[in-house]
Amino acid sequence: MKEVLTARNVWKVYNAASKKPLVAIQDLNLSVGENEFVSITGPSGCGKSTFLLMAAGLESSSAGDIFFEGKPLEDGAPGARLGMVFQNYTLYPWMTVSGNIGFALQKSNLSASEKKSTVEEFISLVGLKGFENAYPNQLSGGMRQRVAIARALAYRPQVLLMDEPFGALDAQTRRVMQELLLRVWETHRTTVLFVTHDIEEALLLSDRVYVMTARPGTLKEVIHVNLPRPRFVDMEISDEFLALKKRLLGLIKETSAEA
Amino acid sequence: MNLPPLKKPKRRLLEIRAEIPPAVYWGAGVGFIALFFLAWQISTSQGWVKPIFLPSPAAVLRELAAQIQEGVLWQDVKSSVYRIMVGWMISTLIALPIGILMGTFRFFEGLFEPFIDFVRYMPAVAFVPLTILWAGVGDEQKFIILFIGAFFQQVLMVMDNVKTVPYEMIQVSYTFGLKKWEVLWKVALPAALPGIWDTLRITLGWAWTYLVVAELVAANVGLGYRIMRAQRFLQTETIVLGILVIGFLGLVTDYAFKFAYRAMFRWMEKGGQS
Repeated sequence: MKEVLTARNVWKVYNAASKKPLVAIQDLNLSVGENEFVSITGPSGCGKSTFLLMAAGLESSSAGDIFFEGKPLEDGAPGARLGMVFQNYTLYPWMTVSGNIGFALQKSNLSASEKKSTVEEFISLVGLKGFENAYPNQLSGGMRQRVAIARALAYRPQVLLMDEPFGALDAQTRRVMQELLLRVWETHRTTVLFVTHDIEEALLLSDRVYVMTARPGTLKEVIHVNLPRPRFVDMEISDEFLALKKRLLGLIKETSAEA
Repeated sequence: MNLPPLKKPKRRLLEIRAEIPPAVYWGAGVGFIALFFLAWQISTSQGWVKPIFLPSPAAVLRELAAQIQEGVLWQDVKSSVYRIMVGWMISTLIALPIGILMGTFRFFEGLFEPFIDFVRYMPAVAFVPLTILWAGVGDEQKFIILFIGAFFQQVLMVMDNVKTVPYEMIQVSYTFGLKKWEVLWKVALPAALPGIWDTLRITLGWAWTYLVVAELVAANVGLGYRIMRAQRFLQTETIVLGILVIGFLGLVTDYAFKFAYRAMFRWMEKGGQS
């Protein structure tokens, strides 16, 4: 499989000049293949979100390299090749749903009519037809995240980075959104790097799950999730799923005990 | 749908955070103002207070009519409003870019904030004698006082307005390929605008205080000047009228700002679909 995103011996160290440097990420190696759905999970403070920001070019690494399609990422040079979905607060509240998605397309080479049809396409993809002219403040938390996902996908990034995108939602909505993301991913097969502390979410969505240790965050293990696709939320009670969950829980327990 | 017999909703007037009927809410506000004027009327007509300390509402109304007829009121209002507008505008036009830079770049915050904090604690009113030496007693001196009074507060408040824009919103904008200045102009600024608008409204209210103080000390026209001159001749109705007119003008501008806020920032409103 072609590697799209590769981290080689990546470190993140804060207060490096002081007597007590804080090592957030220690010698991390990981890779994401083309059209692969990869998750990173681990205890709070393991540096998983920090790594995602570095992969997006929004933070710089202290040592090591992150490669995008074989070329090292330039520090602090975010570009439109990578899409990002955060937990919250990223929609522009003064723009409608269409406006938010259209805003992401302003640097693309599409013609005005192509942009318009792209916006429509992605609005219906996330099930928001009829809400084109609603403002974010008029939407529920789940609907806002649908807009954020549609907006991140609309400019067709080569990698979609998602930082706990469903972390602020209630349990019911979260399951609906997981199902939605599964369907969207099955149709678009975008390469995804997904950060979550919810291990069921990680297993349900991913092809591979990277487990990180508590600070200093480093790689503990990789789990290959061989569950068949298409996947559905109710697979979470299947024997295969539970076996994987048991293994993952054991790993997380070990990493927490080390902390 | 067939509803069962419904219980009458409990309407308690004083329940923590509970809604009350709008008629009660607005009626109470208007009633309180009416009560204030009634108490004023009674205490003067019954002779409980001497007119030299507090004139009757009727006397103030007569004074209002007289000032309108002589054109004095219009002249005073015109020059005071002109001074407020120019002084506050100069302050705003300089405070906006500096405040935005300070809220965006830590360098500018570090550069300006210690100095601004230092000047901010100097009472603007204490600059009145100095500004008279610099600029005389005309409009320019009022502009300077207004600037000293409003600018240093505005800058810090605008800085805070810009800082409230969530960082994630800025980060995600970079991933759409926007450059630094585009993010500032197209994302950070529009996001901070409702807060900035409130800052402008609040500081305009403060500007009135500084203007009147400046006019009380030295001026030959303006609402503050009228009040100061009336004191010499013990014309309390002129003083009271001046105070009421300033209050009224403040109220009008405040509501104009609030109205414009609602018209401009409809997207802030919650509710609707969920």
